[in-house]
Amino acid sequence: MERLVQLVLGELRWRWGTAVVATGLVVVACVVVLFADAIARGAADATRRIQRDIGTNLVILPGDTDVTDWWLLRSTRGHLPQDAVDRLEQAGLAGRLIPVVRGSIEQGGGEFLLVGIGRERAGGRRGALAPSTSDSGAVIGSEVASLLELQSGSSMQLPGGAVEVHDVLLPQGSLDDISIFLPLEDVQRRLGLEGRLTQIDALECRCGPDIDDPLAWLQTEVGKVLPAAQVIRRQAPAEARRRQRALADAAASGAGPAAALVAMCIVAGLAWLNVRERRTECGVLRALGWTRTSVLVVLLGRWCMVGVAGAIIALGIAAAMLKGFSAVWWWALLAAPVAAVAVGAVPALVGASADPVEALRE
Amino acid sequence: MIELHAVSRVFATGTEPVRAIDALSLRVDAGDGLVVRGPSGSGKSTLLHILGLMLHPTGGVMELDGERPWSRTPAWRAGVRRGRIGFVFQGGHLLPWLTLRDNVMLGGATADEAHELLDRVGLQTRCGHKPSQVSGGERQRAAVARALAGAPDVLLADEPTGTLDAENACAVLDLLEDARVGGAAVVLATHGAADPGGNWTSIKLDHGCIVTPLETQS
Repeated sequence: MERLVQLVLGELRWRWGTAVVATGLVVVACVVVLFADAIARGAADATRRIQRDIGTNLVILPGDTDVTDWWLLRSTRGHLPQDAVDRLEQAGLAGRLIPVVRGSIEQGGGEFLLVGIGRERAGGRRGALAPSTSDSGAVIGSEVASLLELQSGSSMQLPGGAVEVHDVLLPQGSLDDISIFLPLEDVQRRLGLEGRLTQIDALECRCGPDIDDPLAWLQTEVGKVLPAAQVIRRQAPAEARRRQRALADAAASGAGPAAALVAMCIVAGLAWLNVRERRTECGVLRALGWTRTSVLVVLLGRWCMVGVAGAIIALGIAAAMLKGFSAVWWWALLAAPVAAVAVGAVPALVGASADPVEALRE
Repeated sequence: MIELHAVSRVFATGTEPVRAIDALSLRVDAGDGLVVRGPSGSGKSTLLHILGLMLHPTGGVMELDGERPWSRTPAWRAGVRRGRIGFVFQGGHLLPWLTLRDNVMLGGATADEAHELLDRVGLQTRCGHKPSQVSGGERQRAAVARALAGAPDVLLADEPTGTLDAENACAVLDLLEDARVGGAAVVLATHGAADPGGNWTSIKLDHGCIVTPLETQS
């Protein structure tokens, strides 16, 4: 083994030019793969953030909701039990679950929505989807603030008692502008809906089958957990999510394999040149009684060393320039020597199998 | 030790087959020295490659200690080449990135044995040198040392003095003679007038046939 390593290292030193070029190619391929992985992970995070900002795209409503009324008034006379959120979470049917209780109130001559938002469930660690509420007061929409002449710190009258304005939202261009947000339990108490919800907002997850009619599938699956509940699926944000994910996946999956493929092709070419250069050496070794396998191991040892060296250098570069390890790093360390040996295998086999007499005559 | 009975080797190259060795019979025993002479293309190298189990005869029978090597496996023949046959090539064919000692070790010698062999060929001070750092004569002597690794029963030398001056050629031939005296069967192919002296048998090949009767040099 020691003699084999000595033989391989000696040859690498002797033909250092091709060794450096081949190692450099492996380094470039590994670095591109590692950077592509890092970019993909960054893109995935960015995608998650963007999709979070797009908002929820599913609304689960009580079975007796008049959907026309809901679209007009954003309220329903029906109710869901509060444990409906637990049941949906256990069923794993959605990415995020936000329990909501909502009712319209008249205040200061205007009609507003009083919205109670509960703790987000199922994957709520990555930032809140809904406007955040505060235990120390109400968060109000810009139209509410404008019409009632309120600002942070003001006191506002609501059914069930006055509350201090904790924050005023910037104009959102949505129903949020005429909404008053409070913690779920507070709004339940003020509207007399303790232990009940008017809707559950949810984010569609990628847990369902790839089918043409995801709404029908969702309706069926939700129905198993909450019989008669209705599901509204907003198609536009759902489609926007799907396309964004597809774009991020395509961008992430292309660069690394392409770089690896190009590098492997060039290394394969170098392997052929190397074997052509070493025909006489192969002939001498075979004449001295080395078996075909032994000669093959000597020839492949070069590419194994090139792969290992390339992977280690690439990992060093990646460690210096990128934050955070990922499993791909260890795969690169393993895959680079394997790929280098794989592309060198055919030329090496041809070299080791060459007729020693012909090789010596050259 | 090695017997050839009407051995032929035909190369199927071009439109007309080339008969490099034509029904050649000979026998080489331990302690024998055989000089194979002849012009370029007469079949000397082909004969050595057949004797070295590197080239399959296309006709006739070859025996090595009563065994027919070409009916055995390639691994068996590789083992025989490694353990019982030493080969000295024209120009040495040392690997340029290895030291002379490491080159000798390629023949199967340990580091100590390699030192001892290089000492025997007068290169004890050159063990750590690369082939490019020594003269042509020293390279060829190192090649002889590599061929002597493992004390082979058969030593085959293909034009070992072809590129050497008279003094270095003489030194290499002395080494071959020493190997013969040591009990090895030595076959030397040359197109020149290389004369190892001693009790060597000489044959002349032309177009793969022995054209000069066997004779013993004095």
